[in-house]
Amino acid sequence: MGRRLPLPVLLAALIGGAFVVLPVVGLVARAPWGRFGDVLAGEGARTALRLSLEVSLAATALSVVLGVPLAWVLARREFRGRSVVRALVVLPIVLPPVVAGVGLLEALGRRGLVGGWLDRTFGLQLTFSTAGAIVAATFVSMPLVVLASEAGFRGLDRRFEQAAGVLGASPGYALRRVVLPMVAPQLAAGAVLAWARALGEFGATITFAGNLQGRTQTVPLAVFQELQTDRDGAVALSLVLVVVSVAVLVALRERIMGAG
Amino acid sequence: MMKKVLWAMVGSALVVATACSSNGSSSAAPSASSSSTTTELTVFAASSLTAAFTQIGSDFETANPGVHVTFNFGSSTDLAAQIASEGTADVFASASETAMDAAAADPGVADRTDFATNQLVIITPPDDPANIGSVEDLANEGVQVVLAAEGVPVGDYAREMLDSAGVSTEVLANVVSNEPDDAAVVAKVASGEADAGVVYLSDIAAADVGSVAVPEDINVIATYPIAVVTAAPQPDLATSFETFVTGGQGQATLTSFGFGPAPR
Amino acid sequence: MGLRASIRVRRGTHVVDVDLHVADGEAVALVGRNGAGKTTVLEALAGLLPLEEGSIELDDRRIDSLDPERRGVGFAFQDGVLFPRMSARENVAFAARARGERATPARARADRLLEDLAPGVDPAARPAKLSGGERQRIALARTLASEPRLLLLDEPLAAVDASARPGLRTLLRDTLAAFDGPSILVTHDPVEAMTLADRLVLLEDGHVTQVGTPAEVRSHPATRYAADLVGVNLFEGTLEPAASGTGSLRTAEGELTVAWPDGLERVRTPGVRATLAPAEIALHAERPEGSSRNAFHGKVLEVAIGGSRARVRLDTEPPLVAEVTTGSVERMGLTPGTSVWASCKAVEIRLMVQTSGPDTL
Repeated sequence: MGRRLPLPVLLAALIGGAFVVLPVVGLVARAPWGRFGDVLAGEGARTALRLSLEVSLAATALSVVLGVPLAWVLARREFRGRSVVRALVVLPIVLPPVVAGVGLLEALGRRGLVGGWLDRTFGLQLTFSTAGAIVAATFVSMPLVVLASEAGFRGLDRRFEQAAGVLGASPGYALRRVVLPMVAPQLAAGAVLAWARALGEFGATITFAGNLQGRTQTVPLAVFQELQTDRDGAVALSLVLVVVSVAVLVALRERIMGAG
Repeated sequence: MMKKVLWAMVGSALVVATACSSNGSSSAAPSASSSSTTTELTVFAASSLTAAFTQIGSDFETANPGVHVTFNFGSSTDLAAQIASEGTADVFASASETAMDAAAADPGVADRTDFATNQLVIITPPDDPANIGSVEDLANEGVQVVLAAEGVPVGDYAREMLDSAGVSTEVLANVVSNEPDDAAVVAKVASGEADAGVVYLSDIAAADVGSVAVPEDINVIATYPIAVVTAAPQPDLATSFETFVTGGQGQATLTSFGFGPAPR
Repeated sequence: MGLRASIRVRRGTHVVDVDLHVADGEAVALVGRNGAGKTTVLEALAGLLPLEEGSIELDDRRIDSLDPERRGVGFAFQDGVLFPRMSARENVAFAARARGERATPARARADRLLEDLAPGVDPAARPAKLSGGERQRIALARTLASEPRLLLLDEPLAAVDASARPGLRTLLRDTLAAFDGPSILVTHDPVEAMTLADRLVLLEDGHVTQVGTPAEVRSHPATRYAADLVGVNLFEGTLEPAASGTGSLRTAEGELTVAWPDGLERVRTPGVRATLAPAEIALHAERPEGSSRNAFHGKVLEVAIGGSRARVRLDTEPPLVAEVTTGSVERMGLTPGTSVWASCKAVEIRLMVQTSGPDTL
């Protein structure tokens, strides 16, 4: 293999890169730089940003707490129907977000399968609430944690767990002190992807949790609404989200891609 | 061998990209020539017109063989913005004068005329769990109300109406979600997720919801303007469609879907 | 007390069927070719593999239904399998910490054990920074730190390079000698087996073919593999009376003239085994004269030089391994393909006439 890249590969890579970068360039080019300060000072924008961070971080945490054990079971336990379960767990990635939202409504809405019971028994309503926004975001981002973690667990030589076992460690202790430290890079990568997905979540959120400033209106929803009345403001707000996301991804990229 | 494959992939990607960017229609000549090619007419219409215009569209196709009508339904404000940036629309039928004004400013419209009116109505789930009997009931404690967002015509109208009724503050405090359009409001209420919503009269015909009339003195009459978009790909066909909508058959269809007649 | 195990495990089409008794303080070497099932036996003992049939008793206590962490079995893996994100000290302290002991005393004990077994190794170093030999020492320390009642070592010298082996071999010998429970060492290396173990258990195709001390196996190898292992020539065939008090041992690969054993009736006797020490075979360029009754002609297959002695493998009928001086190899120009005559005296061929099969103890 020569050191030069074959021309078609280079060309495809350039087109791919341009394809992804162009929308961001478009945003930057048409941003109302003069109005940036106003937009950010506005209560709507700041509330949306705060809510976005809250919801995305909570969804990431929930995805990790639930997703890592799930990935562990899928990786290590053989049981009938395992491939079906795995397919279902990954399904939210493939599902159109609005469809995911509809599904959530049918299950957890006020008149939903489980939601109805929650409402009647505990008076707990997830729709139209911040908790609902977190649920919607978790639903679409947890599969990313599961995928990354399962790959990590599967790639781990079983003998490490065996060694821990013969040395007297319970499976739980072995998981905590031997396995998790060894798959930490993959888990972290999964968590970052999940966070990014949760931050950008729109379709499931607006369908399931609704759209209300301060409670469920995250930045994507705020931008969508701003498009109706103040297009420039929408562009400004979009750019803020882009900048925040890029900053975090760049800061973490080395740690996760490099170290792993 | 590998190189050939790579070139083929790059080549096809470029072809696909250019094909997609060439404005909209995959069919041929703009002028109505041979009958073997269909002519595409693109109509941007407010989402409240979805049911009615789908019927009108199919009627128009029957009356004009070789024509295929494509609709883009959405919030009028959204549509006006899209028309300004995209340039693929032939006809624009809006639920608000403001949105039409925006389109008139950029890119410009011709043959603007009002073709229908609509009123507001309060909707509830079929079993009406919150017992809504009047506009004032929307202000009751614990009632979960959904409206279309501000900036969406029906959302603005609803707020106008609530203001006229004097219950603006209380009802707005009960709003749990601002939906992108009236169709979304109907969806939330019909499913029982929300207790009540405010939409157009035309929305309830096809929906499984209960309804409460809004008194005439506070109700907002929405006037729907229609126009041909400047630099439309099919200007003649667009005018033809507009005439159809304002004509006998079109008006009858609109009435059957709950719209009021065009204002004199 | 000690280990009494009856192990039957199926791995695909292979069946491993082994009975083992190992006394406290005894070190047994489980020897066999790769794929014979040695590691399978260890895994079954450690609880890493379920038994299809059988039982395992350690110190008069049934352990075969217990999880690995409850068995009190120590298992040192072939390439250490040290936890990469922990230092040497933390690896060695792992068992204690897993039991719930406090960090500081556990780490201190680990440090002391490391000083003993791996002097010169920095306890804070991570496994990746250490050599194969150092890693094996730490692995051994880690296993011993768990205070096991049964010690299992899987090919302990395999992942260690030649220069480090002697030192590690000495360490293992001392460790096995000092260990007061039963210990089992798996190896395919005869030198390891002979020098470290009190007893050998030979495993072929999942079954035990011989059990005995190194001396017993050396003098009476029961199978071709055992013979190869201890480095003697082994023959098996039918013994028939021949001229003037001699006998003829007819094997499938060739015929040998032997001295008729005292006290054996001079009749055709099947199922006779015989060994011949390689050093008793003389090599000649020409057909030898003299009283040696056995002379075989063949080509040299392989020459393995070890110091002043050399082992020469021949494709004679029957095949033979001869041991000569390196000088002889040079003088006769012995290389693979060279034609040569091999001879030995009939009396040097030692016959084993026995009716019992391989030991199963």
